Amino acid sequence: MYPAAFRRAFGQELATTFRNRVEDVLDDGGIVGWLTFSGHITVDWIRTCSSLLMESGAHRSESLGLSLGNLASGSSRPTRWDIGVCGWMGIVGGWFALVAVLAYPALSKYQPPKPTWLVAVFGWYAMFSAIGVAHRITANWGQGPSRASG
Amino acid sequence: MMPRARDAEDLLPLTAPVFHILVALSDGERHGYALMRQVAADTDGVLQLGPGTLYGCIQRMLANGLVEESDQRPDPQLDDERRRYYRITDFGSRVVRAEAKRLALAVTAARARRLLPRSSGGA
Repeated sequence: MYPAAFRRAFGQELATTFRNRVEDVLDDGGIVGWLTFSGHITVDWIRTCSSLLMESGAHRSESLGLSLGNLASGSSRPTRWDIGVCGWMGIVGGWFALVAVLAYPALSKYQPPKPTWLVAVFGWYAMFSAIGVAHRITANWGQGPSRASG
Repeated sequence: MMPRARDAEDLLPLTAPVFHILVALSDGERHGYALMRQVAADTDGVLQLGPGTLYGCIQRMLANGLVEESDQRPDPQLDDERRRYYRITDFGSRVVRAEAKRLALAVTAARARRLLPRSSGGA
């Protein structure tokens, strides 16, 4: 689900690292740990993809705006295109979170979670939150740049 | 393309993930997952790197000559062959030292204004 160039460079390692992390989380047991992990992975994916796409789009990578650098450094204001990418990633991320939390019973064969309704509610909550955020962001598109630029 | 002639200060300030990855690599080579765990341990779990953030950082650090892939493996019997190990370069060491110095100055300034306790157990 990452951009192709990133997958080509690190795909197998990413998968191995992800698998190790999942094994650790499942070993620790507990639905709370799993939900925290799912949320963390979703946020990580959204951040990574948006950061990679912004860099490739704006050719900003020659500076060491590492990780979330360009967002964190405040060196440039996000463009409409950037915000649109983040919004859509939020929507896709919501679905990803839903799939992730619903996968828990299948992955943890020996410890099925008791409050399964909680898993489902969390998944739907994540998805609708993402859609809500995306909607709020895109609703401001036509209003021009922020006045807080200083 | 190794940026040998570049000044370490050119790359400052580093982001927290990059700084902690370099710190974790400063005492030996590690693969991605080991880096993730070491960074979490070093920061008391405050900084949990996800796989995307980790490899995004590594990609840029490789491009900037801060780290390099290691061709040595600890013991192929004990390890997954698909793992790649990374080590810090001389340039990376200079950059992380410069950043640590910068952060130490910031802490000193904060301490002087009583934003932090005078001593935190050591010193």
